[in-house]
This record gives sequence, structure tokens and C-alpha cells, in this order.
Amino acid sequence: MKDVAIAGIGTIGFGKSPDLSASAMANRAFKAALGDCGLAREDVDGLVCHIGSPRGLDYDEIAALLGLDLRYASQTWAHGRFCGTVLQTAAMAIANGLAETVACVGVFRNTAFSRPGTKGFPGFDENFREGGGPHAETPHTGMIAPIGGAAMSFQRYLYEHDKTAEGLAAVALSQRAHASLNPLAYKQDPLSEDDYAAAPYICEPLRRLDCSVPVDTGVVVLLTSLKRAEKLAQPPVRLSAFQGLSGGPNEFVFGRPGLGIHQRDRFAGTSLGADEPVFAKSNLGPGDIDTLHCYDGFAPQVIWTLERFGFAPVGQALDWIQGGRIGPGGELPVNTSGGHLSEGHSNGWGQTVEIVRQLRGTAGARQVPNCRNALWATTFGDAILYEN
Amino acid sequence: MKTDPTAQTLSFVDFPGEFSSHTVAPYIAPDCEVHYEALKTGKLLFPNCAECHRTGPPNGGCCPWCGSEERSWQPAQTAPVIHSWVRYHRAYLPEFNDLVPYEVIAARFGDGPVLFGRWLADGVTPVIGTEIRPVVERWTDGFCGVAFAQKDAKS
Repeated sequence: MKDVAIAGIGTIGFGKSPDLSASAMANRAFKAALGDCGLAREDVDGLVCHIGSPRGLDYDEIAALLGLDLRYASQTWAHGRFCGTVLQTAAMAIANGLAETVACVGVFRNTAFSRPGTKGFPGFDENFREGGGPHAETPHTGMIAPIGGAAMSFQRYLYEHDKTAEGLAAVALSQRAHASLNPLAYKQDPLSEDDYAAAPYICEPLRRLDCSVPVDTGVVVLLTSLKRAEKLAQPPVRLSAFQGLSGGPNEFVFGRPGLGIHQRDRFAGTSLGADEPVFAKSNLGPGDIDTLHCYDGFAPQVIWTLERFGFAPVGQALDWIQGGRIGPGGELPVNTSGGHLSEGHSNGWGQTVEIVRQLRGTAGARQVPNCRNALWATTFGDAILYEN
Repeated sequence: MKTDPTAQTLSFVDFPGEFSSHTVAPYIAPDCEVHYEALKTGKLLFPNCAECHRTGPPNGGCCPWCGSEERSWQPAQTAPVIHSWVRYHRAYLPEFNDLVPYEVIAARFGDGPVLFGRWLADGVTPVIGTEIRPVVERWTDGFCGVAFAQKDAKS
């Protein structure tokens, strides 16, 4: 997929916007993205949106309220895991001639609703799916809210690899250090190890600082052909290799395959590493990646992503991340915007605009030197390799 | 550990408080009702596939390994062990407000299904790999689910 690129990005930032409608947030981000690259509203003929109403907007609302004339539209299920899928869908639409320029829209009013896992949060009924809740929720047992599945997986991970949870602090501390360099991040105040140790447990073994921070946000990413992007105002950021979101009996969204949570089989964890399709398609390996960006609704997801994609050996990522390895100036800066843990829970869109900034060389104080290859990758298996 | 299926009648506990299960009980498809109806009589039954003879989880209308919809409902053949566990320090549902902190167990039945259930051993930290005992947890309106107790506990 070497002929598709990100041409423009726009965001309203990450915080609390109780007085803004989702359409106003989308409109502001959309205008910012158009202004970023010099495209006009009428140039956009495709739309893929993420999550939808009531937390955000459905595709038909966006088209009507923002005055778009579309010949291709799509939308994903109301879960954060589909940021990569949205971008991949848009790229495939462009590559196959279904649209020339696609707006990828991530707009979320997360602070307008009660906490995920409570009965007032949109989508609560999903807890009663035939196959169980989307994060292993089983309400009558008290197994509820996304954190339950992540905590259950992490507890099993610690047991299988004879580790303790203390090492996980490095994820929150490293990402807060990145966020302190990001003026758009919701949480920028410094964190110490004592702060982490004092943070209360929410669902043991996970503490409050292992959890993402809910925010309101609007992000628009404009994709078009590389040929067209090269004629626009910003240097194009190419999407050079893809790997789709995985599913199956051994896959659980909040755990590395093989941990046996919410699954039927269990097996020893294996890392495909450089054999993962995203690397095989690009002739690159983990050692070629200048910065990694991953879905971090909960801190262990960073650990599992590092292991799944071969950055750290299976069972050793908690040790591997110590000593500033994933922080500013580290060997592999991870989630340099601060990620969901500190910039705010943007369902991957904050990381996406940060990848673009890094590859343009406009990330300011947190710029990764000579950044050429950036990887979006997740616990649940999807990945996009970006190149400048 | 192999168990004698014919001897398996589970003990009952009542979910604390006076709560109806209607906002927390799972959707039960007609072809999966056997599991929940059996719990009301103290029996823990899982679907055993007539084609590949593997034992699956109680939800879902077909065998996840071979796709067959032909199955018989059989008592658990092995005692559950703790596969993982968590301790909630926050109640997300009002039914659990008075219970925090409370633990939830992921219990593995041999090579078969994993069930989640509340841990009933107050003050005892669960240990992964430990054999435990399933019990029936009964709600005020009669709905029955599974919870877990220490293997040798009396209730």
C-alpha cells in the first residue's frame, strides 16, 4: 500500500469540552486538517468514522452536518480498538478507486457520560452479548468494566512469567514524561515513583495511574494518494505496510494471545516479532522502528504490544522497559504524545496525529531525532507502518 | 483432578442483599437454557460436542472447534482451578456497592471452559493454580449463576 499517504491532520486537543457538540468538535478538527494541507471541503469524497453516536457522530450525521458530498462512507463498531481499522479501510478505499480523499474522523465526548462499566454508559447492553462482554464482562459475577479484563490478563501474565506488578510503573512514568513535553496533553504534571505507588488500586493488580484518562476530543486525518499528497502543503506521511486486527479463540482484546482469558485454549506465549506481517511486508524489523505508538487503555497493553511485535522477548517486557528505555530520549520512545494514559483517551487518534508530527519533524521538544519509521501496533494485533 | 459427575450437586449461596438480577443477568438463548436451568437444581452442566467430543463453554449455540450443533449437556468432568483473579476496589454496579473490595475468579475446568465467578472466601487471597469448588449463587428473583469457594470450605 505504498501509494497512500496522510496529507493533513487536525485536532481540537484533549480535555474537557462540556459545552461543545460533537459536530462542533468534528467541524473544528476538519477545518484544521483542511488548513493543514491546503485541501478544500469539496475535495473530500470519502469518510470513515469511528465509534459514532452518542459518544461521537455517525457517518450520515457527519456528512449532513459538515456538508460533505461523499461517494464512499464507512463506520466501525463503537469501540476504541478500530483506529487502525478506520485508517486501513480508508487506504483500501483510495487504493481501489472508491474515493480520492478520505476524511478519517475520531470524535468522542467521553466526559459527557458516566464511567465505562456503569449502567449509564453508552453500550452497556453489550455486556450481555452471547459471547460475553467485549472486554470479558460478566455482570452478575461482578466482572464488569473494561479494566476487569485487562486486570485479569495482567494477573495471569505475572503468574506465567514469575513477575511482580511493580515494574509496570515505568509505563505510566515514561508516558507522563513524554506528555510533559506536549502542550496538548491533558495530564502534564510530573509523576514520581512515589506518586505511582500511592495511586489507589481500581481493579487489582491495576492502579488508577495504569488507566487511561477520559477526555473529549476531535481528530480528523485526511488520506489521499501519495501522488496527490506530494502536491499539497505538508510532506506526505506514507502508510507503507498494514496488518489487520486479529480475532479468534486465542485472541482477547486486553491480553496477549495465549494467556487464556475469556478463551478456550491456552498455550505458551510466542512472539512473531520480525515475522509479523507488517514487518515482512516492509522488509523492516523491530530494530528499524524509531518510535512505537500503541493502544494503551491500560498500561499492560504497552507490555503486550512490545512482546507481540518482537521489541521485547516474551515475558520480559516489564524488565525491558526499565531505565528510561521507552521514555524521552530512550532507545524506543513509546507513545510520545503521552498516549491514552496522559494525553487522554483518544482511541488511538492522538497517537496517529503524533506519528505524523514525528515523521514531519514537528514534534517540538519531544521530537525523536531522525525519525523515519513509526509503527502503530496494538495488543489486538493490528499495525500500520508509517514512513516519511 | 477427575471428579465423579454423578456426585456433583453444588451447594447454594444467596447473593448478598435484595437485588433482582434483571439488569445483570446474561441474555440466555433458548438453546443454552439447559446450563442455567440445571444450576437451579444444583447441577453444573457444560455442552459436550457429539462430533468432536470436546467440552465447550455454556454460551454459544455451536461447537467452537468443529461447528457442530449436536451436543449433550454433561456434568463438569474436572474440578476447576484458579486460572486468574482480580480484586475490585471500585463498584461499577450498585449491586456490588456493599461488597468492595471483592474478588472475581477466572476458573478453568480442565481443557474445557473458563467461567468467571465471585470469590466467596472473605479475607483469603486467591492463588492461581489452586483447585476450588463451584457453588450456585442465587439471586432474589431465582436467577442462578456460579461462584467459587475454597475446596474444603463447608458452605
